[in-house]
Amino acid sequence: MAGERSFGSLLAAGYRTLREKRLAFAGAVVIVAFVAVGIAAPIIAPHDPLEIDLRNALSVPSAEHWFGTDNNGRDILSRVLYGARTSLFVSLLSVGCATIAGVFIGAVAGYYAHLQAPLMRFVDIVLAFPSIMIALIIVAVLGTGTMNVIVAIAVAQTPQFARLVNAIVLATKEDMYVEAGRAIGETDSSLLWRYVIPACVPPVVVQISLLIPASIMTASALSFLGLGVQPPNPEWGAMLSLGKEWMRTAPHLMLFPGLALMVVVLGFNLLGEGLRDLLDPKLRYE
Amino acid sequence: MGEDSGEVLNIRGLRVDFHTKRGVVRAVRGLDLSVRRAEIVGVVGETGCGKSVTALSVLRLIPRPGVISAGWVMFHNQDLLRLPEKHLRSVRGNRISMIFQEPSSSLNPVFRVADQIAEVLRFQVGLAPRVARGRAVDLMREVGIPDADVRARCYPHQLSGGMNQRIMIAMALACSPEILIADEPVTALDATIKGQILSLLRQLRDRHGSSIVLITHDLGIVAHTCDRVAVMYMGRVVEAAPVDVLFRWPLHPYTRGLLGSLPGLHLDRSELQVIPGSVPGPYDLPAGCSFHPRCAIAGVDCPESEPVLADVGDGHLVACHCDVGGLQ
Repeated sequence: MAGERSFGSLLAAGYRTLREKRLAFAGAVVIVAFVAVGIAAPIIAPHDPLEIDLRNALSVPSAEHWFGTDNNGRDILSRVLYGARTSLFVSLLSVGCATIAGVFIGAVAGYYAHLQAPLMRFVDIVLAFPSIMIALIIVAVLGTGTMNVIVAIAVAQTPQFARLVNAIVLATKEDMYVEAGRAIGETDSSLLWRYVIPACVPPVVVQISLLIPASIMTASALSFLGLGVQPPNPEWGAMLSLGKEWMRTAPHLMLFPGLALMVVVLGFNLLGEGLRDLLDPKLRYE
Repeated sequence: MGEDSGEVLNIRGLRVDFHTKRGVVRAVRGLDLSVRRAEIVGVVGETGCGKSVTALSVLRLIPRPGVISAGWVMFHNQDLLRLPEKHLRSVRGNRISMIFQEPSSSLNPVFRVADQIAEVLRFQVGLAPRVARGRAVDLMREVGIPDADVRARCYPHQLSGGMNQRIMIAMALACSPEILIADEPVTALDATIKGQILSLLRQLRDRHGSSIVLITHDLGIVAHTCDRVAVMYMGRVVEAAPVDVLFRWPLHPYTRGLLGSLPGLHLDRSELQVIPGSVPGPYDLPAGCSFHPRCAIAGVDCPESEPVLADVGDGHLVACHCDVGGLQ
């Protein structure tokens, strides 16, 4: 009985779960590496990602340029490393905004019955479109650029958080302990934030871990289409788009950014599955 | 009636309706109940007779689609049913507290138990966090939790049902409420813990002078714990009397049937009796006295009009058309 569950013990349990689940552990390693590279890109990149050297254009991987160079002679390794920085920035910011907005909309709509229909029907309408299409429409309206991509992805993902939180709030607000809270004179906002919303944390954490890779993919897709991060800024999707013109003669232009994208997205998905097991309430209380 | 007769709570003509797709369910239909200072009043009746709904209406906690359609709940000359929500919040948990049937699901799973007790003290009494926390541990000790210092740091899922019910009681008592409404407080607990919790309630009444409304379907609990008892049938009180009077001289045919179906409490008999028929569905209430289709002594008046609760002497109230008072 007595043993309490502090934040430290939660971390310890998380570490144990990760050790047991090899795949989730591998995912966590990839993500730690991705975050570290994203932060430290200026320090570890061997070259300036924007430096043009036309005499060395399209050179194959070598000791000087490990991943080779692109059509402008820019170092692909440096551009992939800086691309991690862009993806990290875009995905964290967009999913962060989507989480805050989605949790707020879903919780308010679930708790206050008269707001349920207007808010959630709007969410349903947005959910009816594929999120890449929502993002495309928003970028089309706002114009291209990194900040607009972040706004577009945040708007496209908000409904997914709203729907998830709404369902949990609807169920939780009927729970005995919420009624008991009302019986001791708690206000509505206190009931919502201190009683109902904490119940949403585990699923929302899992959702975040699954939507970060989705947002990395969406950002890359937008950039691939020329609607996202603009050249010459290094971004994986933009690099793929550029590389496809030389796909037959210089496949390394596409190979390395493509691999980076795949490995990072896979890492997040593996970790997300592990997190779901960790935060499952049925396993939690053992 | 009112303050002078020592009444702290007076419910008059309470009606609660649930508007469902199939029609209106009249869960409580003109209920009268009064509670005196430092008195434990038992409210008994079978499942669905409106006991819990009555309890929830006192603090206006009726869930949708329930609506309180009529009546008064007088508490110190103010009608709780017409009090603005803001003022009502300072009554809830402070002057009138509630405890519920499922102790383990009535506590917030994400906070430590002592913090939840302290929360009431901070919110309703305005104590400083550290003071409230110390007082919370004292309260836990008072309701008989061993190693209160250690248990204080536990989450509800780490404690047993009995422990959690003690926590709920400690929370309910945090502000020394004038009235404690206990809705089936021991139904989910096993027999030994049941006894402990009930005697805890009695002790607390003796120590703090709080009145307790004890809602239960168990006549044994009523006999053991309560001073006065109200018997409910189909959303109305059909009989109310001091406990020893009611068990010795039950007057209403329904009460007599209930007691007759219990194995040997006072009367000598070889066979248990049953009340004929079954409880009518919520959508098709019988006209007149709702008990008349099952009643052995029903007369011509019974299907015509609903009997009112009348005093037959010594605070013994009964709602029946037949001259049951003569039985005494």
